[in-house]
Amino acid sequence: MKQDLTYRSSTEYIKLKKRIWILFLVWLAAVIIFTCRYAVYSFQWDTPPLLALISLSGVYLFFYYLYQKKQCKEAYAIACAGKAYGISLEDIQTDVPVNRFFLCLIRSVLIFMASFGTIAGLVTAFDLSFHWIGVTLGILIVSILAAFLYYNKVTFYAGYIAIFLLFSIFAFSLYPYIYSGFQGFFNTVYQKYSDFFYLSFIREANEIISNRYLTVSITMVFVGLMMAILLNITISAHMNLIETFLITFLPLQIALYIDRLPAIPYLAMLLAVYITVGILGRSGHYHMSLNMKKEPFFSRRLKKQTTQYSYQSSSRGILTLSIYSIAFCILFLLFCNSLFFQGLSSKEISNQLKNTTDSYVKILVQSGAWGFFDRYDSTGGLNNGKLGGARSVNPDYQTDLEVTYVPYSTDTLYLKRYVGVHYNNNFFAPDDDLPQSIPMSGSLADENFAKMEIRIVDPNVNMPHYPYDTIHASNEPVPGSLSEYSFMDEPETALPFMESEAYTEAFQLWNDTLADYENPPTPEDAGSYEEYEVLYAPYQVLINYPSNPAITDEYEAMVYENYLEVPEYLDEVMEDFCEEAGLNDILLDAGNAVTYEEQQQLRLRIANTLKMYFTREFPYTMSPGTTPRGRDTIEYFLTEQRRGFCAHFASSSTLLLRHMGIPTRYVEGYCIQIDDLTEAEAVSTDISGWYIGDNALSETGLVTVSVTDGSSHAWIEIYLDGYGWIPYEMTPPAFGDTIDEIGIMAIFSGLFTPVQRLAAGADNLTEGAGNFDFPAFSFMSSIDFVTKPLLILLAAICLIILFRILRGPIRQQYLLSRALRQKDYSTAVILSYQKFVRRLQKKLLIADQHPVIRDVGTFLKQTAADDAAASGSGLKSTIDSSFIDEWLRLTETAAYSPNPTTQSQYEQYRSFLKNLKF
Amino acid sequence: MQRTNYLYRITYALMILFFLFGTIFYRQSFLAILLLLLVILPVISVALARHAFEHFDFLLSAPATTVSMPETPIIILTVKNPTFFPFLNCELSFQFQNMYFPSNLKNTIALPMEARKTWALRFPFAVSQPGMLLFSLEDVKLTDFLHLYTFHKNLNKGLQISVLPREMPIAFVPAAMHTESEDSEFYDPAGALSTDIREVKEYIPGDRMQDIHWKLSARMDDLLVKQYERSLDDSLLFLPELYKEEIADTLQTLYAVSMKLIRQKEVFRIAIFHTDVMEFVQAVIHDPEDLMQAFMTLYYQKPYDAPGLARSTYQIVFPLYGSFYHIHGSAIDLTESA
Repeated sequence: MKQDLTYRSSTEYIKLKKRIWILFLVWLAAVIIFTCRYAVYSFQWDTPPLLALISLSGVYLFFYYLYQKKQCKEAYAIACAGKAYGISLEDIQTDVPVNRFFLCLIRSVLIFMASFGTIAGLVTAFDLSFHWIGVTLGILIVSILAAFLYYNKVTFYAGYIAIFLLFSIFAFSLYPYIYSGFQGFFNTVYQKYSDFFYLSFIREANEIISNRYLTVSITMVFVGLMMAILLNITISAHMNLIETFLITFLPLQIALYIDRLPAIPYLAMLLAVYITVGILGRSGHYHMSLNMKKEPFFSRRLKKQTTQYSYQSSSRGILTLSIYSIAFCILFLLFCNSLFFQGLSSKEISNQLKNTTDSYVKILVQSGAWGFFDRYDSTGGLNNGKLGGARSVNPDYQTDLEVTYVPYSTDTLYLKRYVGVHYNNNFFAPDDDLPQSIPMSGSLADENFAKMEIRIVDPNVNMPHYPYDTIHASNEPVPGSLSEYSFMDEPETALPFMESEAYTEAFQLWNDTLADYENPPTPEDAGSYEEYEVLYAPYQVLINYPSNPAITDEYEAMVYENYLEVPEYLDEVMEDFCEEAGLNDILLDAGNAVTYEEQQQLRLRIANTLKMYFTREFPYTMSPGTTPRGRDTIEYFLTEQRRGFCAHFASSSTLLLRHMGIPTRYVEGYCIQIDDLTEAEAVSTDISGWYIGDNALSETGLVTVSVTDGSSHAWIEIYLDGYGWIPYEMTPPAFGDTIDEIGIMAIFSGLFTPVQRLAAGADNLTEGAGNFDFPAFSFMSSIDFVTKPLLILLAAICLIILFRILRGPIRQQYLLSRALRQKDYSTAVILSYQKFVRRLQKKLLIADQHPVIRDVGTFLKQTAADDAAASGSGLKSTIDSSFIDEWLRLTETAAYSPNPTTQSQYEQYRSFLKNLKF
Repeated sequence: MQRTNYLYRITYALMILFFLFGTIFYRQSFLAILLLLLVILPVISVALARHAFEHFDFLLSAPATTVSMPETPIIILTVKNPTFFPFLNCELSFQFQNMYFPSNLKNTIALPMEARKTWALRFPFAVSQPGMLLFSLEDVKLTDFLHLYTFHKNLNKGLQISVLPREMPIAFVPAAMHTESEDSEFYDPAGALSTDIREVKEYIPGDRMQDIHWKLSARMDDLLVKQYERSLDDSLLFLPELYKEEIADTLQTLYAVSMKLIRQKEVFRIAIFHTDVMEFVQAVIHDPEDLMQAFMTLYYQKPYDAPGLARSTYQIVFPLYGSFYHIHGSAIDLTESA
């Protein structure tokens, strides 16, 4: 019978397969544990990294197997070549000692220099102080620990466990310090970045322990431990310059980007590491195999017709090169320092690329990585009627407008700039054909007017802005729990409505009546709004008007024709939500509200009910997440998202009120609150020419207010028959939506965490899990777009590996079944014999790679003869020489005899094999 | 120049471009320094490599030029770097082969040329066939620290080690020593002709055609006949058949027989057929030294392509020179010359 004379029968390959099997089972166990955990706990913050880790380890295992298989093939080919040519070269010996201790020590120094240089360089670049000796010693110790993992097999496997334990103990016992140090560092970073970019708003994360000197030092050691483990892989294992460079140099970009340069010693350390790692890596002779004591000094590989012998590593050579590199870098930097380090400041640099990058960095600083995925510029959260494309409101607090006027009331002053009329596909479109204002019936009285000068600072908001006052003076919420927060039963505006005299006082102004401009800007003048003046009417002007006589029947017909429009595809959502919010009940209750006043009151009551419902059920947040592609923002907001900022509330309210039969429109602009005046610049106390009329403020003057995008806002306007449009605030008050922590995970949290679940998690934290009606968990639907490809990759790897593993046994079983089906019992016997021999080889009971049948028989006889061996190997005591002879005869008959084996012989053979079980 | 240098050069150029971009983008003096360093480093690296390469020295030696199987033939390569700079990318090309089995396999070895150090490499060989081990050092390459340039130099140094077969016990009894031979046709080889030519004389009718010295006759334009010296009366003649398929066994057997006879203080002869000149050369063996010389001569002979070539040729050339022992594989056959 012909044996398989390939590398597969070599001892090395059999050992490799055994090893791979064990590793694969461990990996499979990890996959199962991970899957179970995922099924039970759903998506957690560590799911993506764990999934990535498992996937990568699967890929690594697969390629490790392929690589080792190639090695086996090469070794086999070299052995064959030696036999063929009568001579072969054995392991080349040398008198150069390989000092593993030195090799590890050099690596530990490199790791220390890389990690310490990076961490200390970064920290000092931001002017943070730390305990120099403690941090140096701490990082040095962890570097030595990490590098000496490669000393031998025991240190490698036991060391990783020890380091993991050390890491865990360190992390758990000093968690408050590490957390605080981390937050402290990022607070400083944000501080410096804010200074650099002139950002007035600084994120302030909470530092549990205020001693920043201590917390930063401890955190540095902790980060040093993590970096040392990473760098140990890139330096000790791979000696890879690019990997080392990425790990060490990229963090420094945080400092370099804003002109903060680490101190020279740290830069020298990093430079020396780069040069040493680069030279050693390129030499290819840095290996320190765990089996070096058993392995030859020179490795061997066959490449085409050339056998390549290559020394693993030279401790003396590496040491000398490292010393030279370090010395060279120090001298070079010292020399260059005096020449070049009075460098330029990048703040002074202005080019398009830098400006673009700056804008992205600002987004990163303000919004985290998710800011890059917004479908439009999310600064301010508003974008001329576009909805759902920004994950969060990220004001840069840069001045958009400078408004000069005379404050005359404590109420919020609105600057309307955009009116959305027709809604479709996440966009509230304006309608230029509709009249923008109600014509005034007469000119303003000379003694009752106000003038506002608006200067456009941010060219992105280069549009006309229409000032007018709020009518809704709601009470501020009482800080504390939701239950403590009480709302007025009716908005203040509704009260005077019932008494027509007071109603006019409360409405203060019909916004559409303010369109008496001294230099009225029009849309045709786009691009010319850099600075303009507008006259507008304080509320006193219209105080005596019970209604607006300028409103004609035609105008109202136009209003009812255009401002009740709701897309058909949203009808069902609107209806369901109105039912849910109890708006329909109001209509039912007010079935007899037939008078004119009652109808107007009803509109405001519905709006107020809706607002209260929003306040109860829809928390305000500046980071609600984007609307998934293909879905409608309002539908998504009302049904699933159920949290949002002003644009969400205003847009949804507009459609909901329209659905209830109330003409409504969506408005964007700015709101200037009384608090903003505290930072206003006083221009003059002389208000002549700027304001005439009564003033609710006791003392006033001409001021210039810088309006930032933090003041941008969206609200609605409700049409009241006979009186025109009144602004109405639908956004619930914000509370608890503050930034508690800033850190790496905070920056990248949005990148890996699905928006919906993040939102749900935040809600649970805020309001308790029980209060939130989150959709039932669905395994497949919960797999987001990031996780899905990883899972598919993981599944594909599993399938490939499983296929490779199971292919042999399945094929064997198939051949056996086919032979039995065809009554070819000779082949069946041979297949059974092959399986039996492979088992013996796997158990290393037969060393020969290609044993002939007689050899196997001899082995069995020897084993049977040796009682001790027989009991040890599992052979039954009844097995004797004649039994094995009969077994041999059957095997050789099947293999060599022209007479086919009978079924009874095959069954006899099977029974023999059962007795020969090891 | 190695092909990989191009890859490294491109990589290095990309690094420079990367830092150039970074420097322009950031206008950071530190990045400018790194850029400057990247420009300077190749010059330094290549200059140092060139300096060191000129001073490298390689020497081949062997503890023993003849070994018997299963002893391991060893070749020692002594490497010297007298400069102050360690180079981890020195590569030597070498070849080794058993002259009976010419090999086209090449070998390279990467060496660490440590600074100011002389060190030795031992190349131990596992031999499965006897023969002449030929080791040749072909060339050396040195790549600079950054792998941007490779220096190359031919060395052309070589060394040979004769690997004698393993001595095996053999049950060979020379026929001449038989005292009680039952074989009536036993041919006594005593008085057989040796292959040593005593003189060459003119052909006279009656001389054997096999004795005509064809080469000399052609040159002298006259038929000349070789007059052989009568060899040692009792000496045995062994004719090894160097057929390539059984050469190892043949040499093994010859060696075993020879060593046995030497121990018995027998003098014998070994006839070696050289196919390139179509001549037999006899070696008279008195001691192991002679045997070693004879094997050296054997090792330079190319193995025969056809089985029985030496025997048939011998029988044709020396039809009257009596019997000889024909060794082919593990067999020793007493063979008549004609």
